[in-house]
Amino acid sequence: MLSILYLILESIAVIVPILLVVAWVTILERKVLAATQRRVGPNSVGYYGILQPFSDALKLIIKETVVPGSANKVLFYLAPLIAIIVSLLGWAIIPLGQGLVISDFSMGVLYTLTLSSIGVYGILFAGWSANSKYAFLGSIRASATMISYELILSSSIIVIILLTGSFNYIKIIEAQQSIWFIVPLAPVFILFFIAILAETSRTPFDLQEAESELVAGFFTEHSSIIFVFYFLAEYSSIVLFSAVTSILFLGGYNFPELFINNTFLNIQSIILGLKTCLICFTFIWFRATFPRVRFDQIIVFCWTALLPVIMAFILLVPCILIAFDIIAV
Amino acid sequence: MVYFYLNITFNFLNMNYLNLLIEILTIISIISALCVITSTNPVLAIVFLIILFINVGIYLILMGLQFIGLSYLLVYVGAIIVLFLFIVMMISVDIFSSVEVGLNYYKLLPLAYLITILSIILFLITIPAFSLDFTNGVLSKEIYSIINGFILSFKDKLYNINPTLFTPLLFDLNFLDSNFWVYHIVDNYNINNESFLIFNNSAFGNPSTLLHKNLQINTLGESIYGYYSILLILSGFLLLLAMIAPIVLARRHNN
Repeated sequence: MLSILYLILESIAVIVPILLVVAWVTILERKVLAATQRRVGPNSVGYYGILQPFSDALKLIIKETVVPGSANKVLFYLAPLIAIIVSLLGWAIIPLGQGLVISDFSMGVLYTLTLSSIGVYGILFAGWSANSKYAFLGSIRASATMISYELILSSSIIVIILLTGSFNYIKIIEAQQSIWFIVPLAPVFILFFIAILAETSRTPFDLQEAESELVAGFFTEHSSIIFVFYFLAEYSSIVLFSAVTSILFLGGYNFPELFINNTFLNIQSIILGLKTCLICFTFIWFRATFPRVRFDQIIVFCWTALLPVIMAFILLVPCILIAFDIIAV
Repeated sequence: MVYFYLNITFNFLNMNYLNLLIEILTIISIISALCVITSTNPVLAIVFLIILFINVGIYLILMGLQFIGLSYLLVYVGAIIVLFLFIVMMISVDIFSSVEVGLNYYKLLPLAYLITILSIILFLITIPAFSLDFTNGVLSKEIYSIINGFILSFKDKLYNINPTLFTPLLFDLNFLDSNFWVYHIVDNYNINNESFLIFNNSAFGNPSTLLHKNLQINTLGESIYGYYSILLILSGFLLLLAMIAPIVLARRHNN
């Protein structure tokens, strides 16, 4: 019985901070956007507006839930649940420090890719079940983008797998003890970052939320608490992919030998958090800087520009590894 | 390893709970498989298909085949069913009209028979555990033994299998037993060191020794691309057929 209790406590110890982080990432986004547009931003709820997300959530929760009469009720409620469950399940294998991981799964990268591809259903079902043309168009656009860019995402992860020889996140972090993978694989990092921008539907690729064409994308008909689920799922997957990026390319919880500490404080988690914050800030920076791309341009860019480049890297990296006889097993 | 993880989770009340979970998964997958073929709304049929595939993936993971289970979820649920859903959502599928259109393809039956026979011959001479029983009146016993002798001699060359020890190993699987592969592959196939193709390269080793020292995924990769590479090429051939068939079906005849 005690082992079950431990499992539940472990899960709570990961999920509750993640939900808090998601809340504060939304306020970070609003603050950074305000700063880039020379506004003040939210500043009245709590000190410097840090309690703003909680009041927003409260406002959304006490709103009335409106379900379209001709909607498919089961799928209408199931879709946001799929989205949030899938994006929170991804945290089960993220190592937050040395030995600080719920499951040290030997195929962690594959698990993350599987979850991100299952997350498409949350969008597809929402668009179809609402029985609304705008929601349907938004979901078709978003899922077409996600399917196309998933190819770039998994292909650029394959390059890292070739260097480490393992699917395990802890092995990948240990392989970056001498140098972070962003240094030898800088072009792959750029491709990977473009892919996760499209995968989380962030701004250059946020066609589902093209307000001038579609009302609000695939969640047009979703209101109150089920809309909150989508909101949480979106930002949770942003933070998740930021953490995955910092593990795959920025060395995860590792840090240069300069910062070795022999105290009882575990600053590895803080290091990982700082790296994740950096990537999150870059996400928001992109939103403040770049305009939205047209839909056909997104798909053409993926299949004719990004895919040949990443295929070339998949050929180049093993050639270098074999030429210098340094194949990782 | 999910299996060991679950093992820790469930061992406080014996292993019975794991077996119960597997049986529940089986029942759900049977029910959803029935719903796939009986539901009239094509989108709901695909939703049940997703439930079926997720059940099968979890079943494989619980049986200890983590990589195969995960790749099942990744490939089928993550990629193929999404394409199905896409097509079904965008065009309004009418099941009855598609059945009527299908009647027009009866004139292609001779070609289909030809392709089927050629494929069966190909599989007969290459897949180790694949054999047909012609003894029930279709062919006389002499012809059957001649064909069988030819096939077995070819397989002998291909895999260097001793024909007397050859027995089909399909449906005799007990994956939870860690010595499973050792028993079956070593006993039935009697692998020698000198083989027909590239298999004598000691870098690949034979499948039985690989399993002792490697993770599941390494073992699978090395045996698929090394020892069983002929079968990999064959499955590629099957995929090629599956790709050509829709192109032929969708081609317009008037231009």
